[in-house]
Amino acid sequence: MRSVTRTTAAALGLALAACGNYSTEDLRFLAALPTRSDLSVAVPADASSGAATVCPIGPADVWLRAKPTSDNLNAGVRFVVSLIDVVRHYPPTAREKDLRRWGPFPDEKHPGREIQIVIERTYPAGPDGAPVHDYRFEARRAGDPAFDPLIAGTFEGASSARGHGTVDLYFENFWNLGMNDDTTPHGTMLIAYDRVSDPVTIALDLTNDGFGVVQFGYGFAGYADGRGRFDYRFRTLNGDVLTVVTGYDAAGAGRAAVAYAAAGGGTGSFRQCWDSSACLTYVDDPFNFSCIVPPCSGGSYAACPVDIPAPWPFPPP
Amino acid sequence: MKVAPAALALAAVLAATPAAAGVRRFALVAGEPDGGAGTVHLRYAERDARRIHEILTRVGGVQRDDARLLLSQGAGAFRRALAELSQASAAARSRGERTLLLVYYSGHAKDDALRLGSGRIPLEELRGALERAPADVRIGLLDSCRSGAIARTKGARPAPAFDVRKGDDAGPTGLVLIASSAADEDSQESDTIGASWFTHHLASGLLGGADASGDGRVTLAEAYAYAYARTVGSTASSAGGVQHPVFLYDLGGAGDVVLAELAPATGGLVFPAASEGLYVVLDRSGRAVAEVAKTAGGERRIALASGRYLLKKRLPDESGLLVARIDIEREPIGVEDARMDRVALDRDPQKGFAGSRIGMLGGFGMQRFFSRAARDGLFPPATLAGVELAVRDDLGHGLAWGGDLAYGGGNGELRMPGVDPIPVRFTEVAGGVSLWRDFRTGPLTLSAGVRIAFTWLGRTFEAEQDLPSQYFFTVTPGLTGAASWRFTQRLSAVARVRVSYLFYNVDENRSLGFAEGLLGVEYALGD
Repeated sequence: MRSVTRTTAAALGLALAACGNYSTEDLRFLAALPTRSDLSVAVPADASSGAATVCPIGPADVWLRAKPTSDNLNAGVRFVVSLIDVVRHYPPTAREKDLRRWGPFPDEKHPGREIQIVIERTYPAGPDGAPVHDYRFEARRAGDPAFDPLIAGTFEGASSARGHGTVDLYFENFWNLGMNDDTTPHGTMLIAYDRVSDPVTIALDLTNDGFGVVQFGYGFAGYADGRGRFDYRFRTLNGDVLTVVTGYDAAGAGRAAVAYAAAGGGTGSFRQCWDSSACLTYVDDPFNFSCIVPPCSGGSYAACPVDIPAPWPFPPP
Repeated sequence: MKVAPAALALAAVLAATPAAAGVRRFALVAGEPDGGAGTVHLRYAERDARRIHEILTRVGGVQRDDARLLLSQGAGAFRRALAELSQASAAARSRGERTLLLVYYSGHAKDDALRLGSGRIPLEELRGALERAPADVRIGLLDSCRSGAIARTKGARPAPAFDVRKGDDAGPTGLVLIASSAADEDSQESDTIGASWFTHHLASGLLGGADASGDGRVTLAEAYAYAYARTVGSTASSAGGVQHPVFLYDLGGAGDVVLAELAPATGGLVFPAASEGLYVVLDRSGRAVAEVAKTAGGERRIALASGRYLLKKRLPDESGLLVARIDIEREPIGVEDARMDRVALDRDPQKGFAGSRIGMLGGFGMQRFFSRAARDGLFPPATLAGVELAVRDDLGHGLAWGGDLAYGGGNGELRMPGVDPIPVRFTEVAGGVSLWRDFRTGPLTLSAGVRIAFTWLGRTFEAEQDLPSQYFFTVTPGLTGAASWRFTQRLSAVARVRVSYLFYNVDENRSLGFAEGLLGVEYALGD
């Protein structure tokens, strides 16, 4: 008994003398959290270069809205990731075998509020299978017993760069807890991403307008060879709402199927193709919605790129 | 043949007249550790010769040009040197000078011949050469086994003293032969004193220990009497048997031969009249250079060359030692027991304890955890640069303690299941204190002990800037061992190995072990 006591005392002494955040397990938990690049919509940056080009038929104005729309979406993603990234800069408050928790601690930006982040790990496919991480970024008013989720996510895989997951933002809870600012949208943003195979896909469902984009279920697929698909929606200056399904090749040439809801009422659709300079090469717009001086249709269907992922079908006129 | 502890009866013999009285002195000093087939290598024969040569040229009145020191040079060189000095003595005599020729030999003797390597010099030949040598006084000092045979035919006697005729004529003339042991005895070496017994006591006597009259001169009779008594006493209980120096004294004329004059020598130790006991003077390496068996009633002085020495005295009740460090310069230094430090018997500098010695070590090495999982997932191997401070013999003979600092790191890859390897820059800083025991064998020292350290381990992920830097700080107890090889007085090459225990408790409680190896150079500060 005495030797056991001594051993225990020695172990306790060493434990008390040890400190630090040197944890490989922490890194495994962090690896499951999405990074900004994991959730970014990567529309070709040169899609806007056509604005300065003299185009025979005209510029691909609908396509030229893709990049600014993706930039706004990425700004929303940055907002999400910046909240999650708090955990990368501080060691966990609590470590358990399959759990890490940061907090609760006061939110310096919002006095009287407490936040905590929890990541739980499970192995639904068995100990040798891919782990599933569920994480919550949650907050409460100081003194409240329960937390409300601000962000909830799940991820299957060992590394966010090679797995699939979801991230849900509950903007209403920001408002309910008084943690919003003027730019905080209402509703929710649900993000699903899959980086397991080619293409990488990201889906963002925004239930309310926000981050400079309108309510929509945005979709992005990026192939390793540079091709891609981007589904987006935007509102024109005169209030028309255009819902766009695009596909593009590695050079940026692409085609789009556009459905519109005119501000003055009425709906319809048109199709366009463009080249790598974002100049229209083909327009199929029987209702002359897409231009100021009719006829809007023109160009050659044969000029449309073929080997692109969307929209499909894209039948000839 | 000379066996283990051999004593040397060397020298005392010299001069019928003091150097100051105008006697030209010639000395042939030879040390020959190799006695050819059937003999063992003598460890201290050359040191004995160097010691006697130094004494003769410093306090024995022998000019350096008139002295020949032969170390392992063989019989031919011995004969040539003897002939050369005889010739020089003849030349001096032709100019009207009185001369003295002294031959000292430390080495093997067997079958009535000195054994110098593969060569031999029959004792009869040596004796004949000395008898014929053209010097007023010829002295032969042989420190070798059964060397008493050289004086056999003339009835050499193992006795503590010989008579010296009194008179006032020009001085003694003739032949004196002194051998370290009788014709049927071995002469013995001692590892404790690092010399043969006879030479050690003879040298101590010449330095002043034998100056029974206290007149500042060590005569042949005094030196022999001292060496005889001390050699017999030192070997009385030795495994090799008691060793009795013998002499053949065939001097005409009056007076004794003065072998050493202490007065002209600068520096040295002065033992006051009241002091008594056995004092031993040690050099920097802990070897005895002189002994003084002091009795109360008269002042005694020993002449020492400039330098740093340790003086020790064993307390009569065996309760400890008195030790003092002494720097000899030009002025004699008085010995005062009251000013010596009292230390335990196990801190005897003559047995290797040289007092606290500080060494600084610098080197490079490696760290490696034993567990592959720990190497891949936590602490990768690292290269280290380290410095150490070692304080030896501070806590007792052979016991040492020290502190160390190490800094290092390396680049590696962190491997986690399902995740691409992540480049890691790993850093380690450690500082520890150790307690160990040294085991010395010649220039080789093996060490083993315990160590406790504070260890800081950190890593950064420069290629993954989203990942935070991490560190771990803990106490790491362990064992330490080293092998060092002293290749100069102050420099040693050191190979050190440490095995440490690390209790890791961040992810889970894990007991880990790691080893550190270090190759470096240690520089001894001070003496």
